[in-house]
Amino acid sequence: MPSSSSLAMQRLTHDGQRKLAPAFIDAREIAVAVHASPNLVAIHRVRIEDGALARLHPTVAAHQFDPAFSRDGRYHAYSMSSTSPQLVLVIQDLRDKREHTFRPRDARATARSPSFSPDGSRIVFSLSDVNGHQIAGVNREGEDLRLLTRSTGLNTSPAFSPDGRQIAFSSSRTGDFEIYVMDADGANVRQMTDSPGLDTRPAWSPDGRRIAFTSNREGVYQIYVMQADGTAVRRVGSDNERHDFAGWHPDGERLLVVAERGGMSDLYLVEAPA
Amino acid sequence: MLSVGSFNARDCQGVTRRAFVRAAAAVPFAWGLAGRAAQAVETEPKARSVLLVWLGGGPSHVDLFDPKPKAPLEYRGPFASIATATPGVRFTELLPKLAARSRRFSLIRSNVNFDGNHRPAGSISLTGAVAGAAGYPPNFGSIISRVRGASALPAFVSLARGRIGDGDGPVLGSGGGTWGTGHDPFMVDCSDAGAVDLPDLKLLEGLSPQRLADRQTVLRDLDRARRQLDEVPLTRWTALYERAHSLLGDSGARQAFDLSREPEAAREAYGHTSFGQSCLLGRRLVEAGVPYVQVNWSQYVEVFYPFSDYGWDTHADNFGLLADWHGPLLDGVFSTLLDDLEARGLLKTTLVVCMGEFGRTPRINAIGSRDHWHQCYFSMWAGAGVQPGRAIGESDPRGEFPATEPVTPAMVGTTILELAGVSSAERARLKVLEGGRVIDALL
Repeated sequence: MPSSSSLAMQRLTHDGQRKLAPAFIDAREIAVAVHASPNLVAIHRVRIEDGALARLHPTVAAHQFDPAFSRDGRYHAYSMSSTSPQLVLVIQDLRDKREHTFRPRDARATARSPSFSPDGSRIVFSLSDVNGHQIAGVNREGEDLRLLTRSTGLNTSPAFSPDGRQIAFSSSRTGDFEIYVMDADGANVRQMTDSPGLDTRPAWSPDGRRIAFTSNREGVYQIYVMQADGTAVRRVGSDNERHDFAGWHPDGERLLVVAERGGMSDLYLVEAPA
Repeated sequence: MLSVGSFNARDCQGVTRRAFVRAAAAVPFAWGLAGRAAQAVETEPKARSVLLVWLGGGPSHVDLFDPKPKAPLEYRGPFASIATATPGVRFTELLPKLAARSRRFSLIRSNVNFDGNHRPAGSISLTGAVAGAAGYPPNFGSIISRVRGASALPAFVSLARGRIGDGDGPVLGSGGGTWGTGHDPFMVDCSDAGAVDLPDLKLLEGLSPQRLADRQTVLRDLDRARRQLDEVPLTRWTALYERAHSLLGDSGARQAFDLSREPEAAREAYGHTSFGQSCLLGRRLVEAGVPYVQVNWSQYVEVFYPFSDYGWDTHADNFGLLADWHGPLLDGVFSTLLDDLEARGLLKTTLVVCMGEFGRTPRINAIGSRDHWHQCYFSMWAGAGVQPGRAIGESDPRGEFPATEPVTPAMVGTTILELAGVSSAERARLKVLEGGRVIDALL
């Protein structure tokens, strides 16, 4: 397995608190869920310039996960805990200050990992509800629910391609988690990886040519990049500590990752394989 | 540096918080309050200390230590199984570090409980018995504490932000039970940065070193404080009073709680999470001779409720949570703990047990997750004469029920007590776990 072992990592945060699923707000700021206190996971805004952290939703007392933003920055979605184990999907229009909530049917169902279509009109997400664990989509008002998968196993971590025509996702339909790509309407599902370990959390590069993802195929969670057709898989970095939750910098040349080093969990930027 | 009162250790960033006694070493303690009338254990026990790692909420046995790769997809879940260092034994892919260390511990896969709800199941797991008319019997730690007695350090320490439980209330079997609150554990909170807080001693805040130097003043102040706190029973107050004075007067005891004395490499190896630093603190307490330490994964069993702190009750998003958080954290921290105990020679005299109150439904539920399952689950055992590298007991092909003799909470408790030197005669005298059986296959 080729790896980009000589790549330097730029550390963006230094607080060491557990971090999950970061996303770029724009080229200057990142949103990330931080385990900020024992009983609160909250989305924070991180300034890339100096790593400064601040709560993105300071008035929200519930756990918050999986921030996502539309390409133009107008819309924002995230998962939020309800009064039960349920996780709802919150969709905000940041310009007009409007908010909609998609609530799954089951009291213990979860809506996670939202991803906006390039035009911002649809949000796909992982829905664990009465129909199993499927990829679903809603409009910006949290309505017009459409299930895009109806398979056995679990279907998670959807990500729209930059042209909006395809969705990459992770599925255990054949046993363990592998990366798949389907058309935006759920048709034409193709398997992209076939490894003995867990392959999950796909992320398209801005030019649509590559997909980064997490895999434990070599033991510990690491970031890999492959061509969008599933070929030329390369590992990013070579140390044996956990690297997870890859996201692409808008420049398409670097990856944002959560890495554990020295017992601390922080955000890093690393050069992406070509 | 360890401060007393708020009792916060300097953490890795050098942060300290308010404390009511900062120069406790200068305080004379001539009156020896630590001298509790303990009953000596007749012979040296195999387990000088017990370290219980409590995974409250019900960790999924099928997704961790008892994978069922040949079961139907709706049972086996999405995680692949991997080989361990023990021939024929496989864990899931979430536990590569523990798989590599499987020769350091033994695994029971046929534990059973008698209740499917957290608080009664937790109580049964931690006491070995169901509740009687007077309530639950004492926790294993309370029994060992009573038999072995306290030194300058408490004999039963529980590491959590507060009394463990769920959103509806505490696990009643987490303390002295029918013996009373005087036998409850000494609670210690350890943050992800390693700041140690002793909430019990907050009752004593306001006492200065000068006032502590005079016994009559101390007694007067303490009595006044107690009268102001009507909700604190006298027995619990007396126990806290003794523990506080013992701690204040013994520099070694204070240092046992001070994680800043650990090399940074050790702090890093355990990781900067509350669970990681708590396990490190647990090792320090064991090393200092505390007979029974319970390290709790979280205070609450729940994961997503607004108050909860990421326990193991994964009714929702079981697989995402295990893959993102619970699996890698347990794998890394418990591996480090075993390595550390082994490297320090402490595994010879420390019994390590890791378990929760039950497992989770082998059949995946309608929303793609798993619920409570008390008919079959796992526990891990290491040290103090436990023969490592064994897989004891089997579950059936779907992980639903034991395929071999079930291991009951009473057997778990009897084994812990026996190794800790609480003999069957002593158990009979105390009327706890009478007639219990030791899990011979472990020894």
